Amino acid sequence: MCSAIPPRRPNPHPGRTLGSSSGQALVEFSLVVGAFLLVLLGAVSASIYTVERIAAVTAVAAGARAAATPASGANPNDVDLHAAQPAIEAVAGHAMFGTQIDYSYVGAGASCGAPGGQGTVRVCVGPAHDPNDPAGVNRMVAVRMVGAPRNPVPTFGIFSWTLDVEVQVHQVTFLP
Amino acid sequence: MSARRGQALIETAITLPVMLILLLGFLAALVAIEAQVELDTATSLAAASCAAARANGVQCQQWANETYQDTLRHYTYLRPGPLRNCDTQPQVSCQGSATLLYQNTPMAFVIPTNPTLTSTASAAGSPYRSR
Repeated sequence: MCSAIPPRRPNPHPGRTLGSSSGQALVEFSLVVGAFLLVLLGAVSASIYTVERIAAVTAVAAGARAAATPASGANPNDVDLHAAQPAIEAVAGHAMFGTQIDYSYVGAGASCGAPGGQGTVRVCVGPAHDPNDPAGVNRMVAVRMVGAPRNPVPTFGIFSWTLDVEVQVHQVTFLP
Repeated sequence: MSARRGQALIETAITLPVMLILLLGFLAALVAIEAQVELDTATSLAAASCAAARANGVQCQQWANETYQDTLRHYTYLRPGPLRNCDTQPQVSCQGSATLLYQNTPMAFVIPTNPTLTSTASAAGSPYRSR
């Protein structure tokens, strides 16, 4: 015996199928997930940038202190600009997520030069001009870091930060 | 259909500003942290400069002020305030302050005021330095 086939239910929304409804949900979901990921990546990138900027400020301050102190055995009233590099590396070497750090030792008033591409920063160490001391007796040391630190989060170039931090400090001097 | 569209519009209108305020508030907190670190650094270097100056109060205060102002002038969102108590040696304890200018950033939308940040730093001069 064959059982009777039940009659097909009429479509309550003629012209609209189940496929279009799920497609709409998919489009809404992709829009929401895209916006959510954008905000999330932006927030994480901003946090990482803050960490890198704080590391940069701390590093250039440590470098300035080291550069302003005379080298052992040298003239006690000379600065030791090259002492800045190990001090900066000790602070920023690990906290900047593998950012390449280039160094240049420039004179007062000289430009720091154009930094490299993404993931590279340039550190410029040199004497700074003290406006209250035109004779240059009480010299100051300036350390500046410019460039685009590496962002370990893959943001596909949407969030590419740059930093530009500088500190100045008086050199340590000795009277005879 | 139009009722559902209206509901979605209202939900978006409520959610979007809340999300925006949360995001800007988060960024404002990060900016405040950065500014505090920059002020701490400038105050610390000022105290170090004061300790490195020759043994008279005038040069100590002058060197500290120059270091403090020259370091902070680089940051446009910080207006340096006075630097106090950088006048005693060999133990120096400087107090710096600065105004964080949120009005110069998009975060003014969520933080309409410009808070004042303070910092204290100490440094000791070397007893072996000739003066």
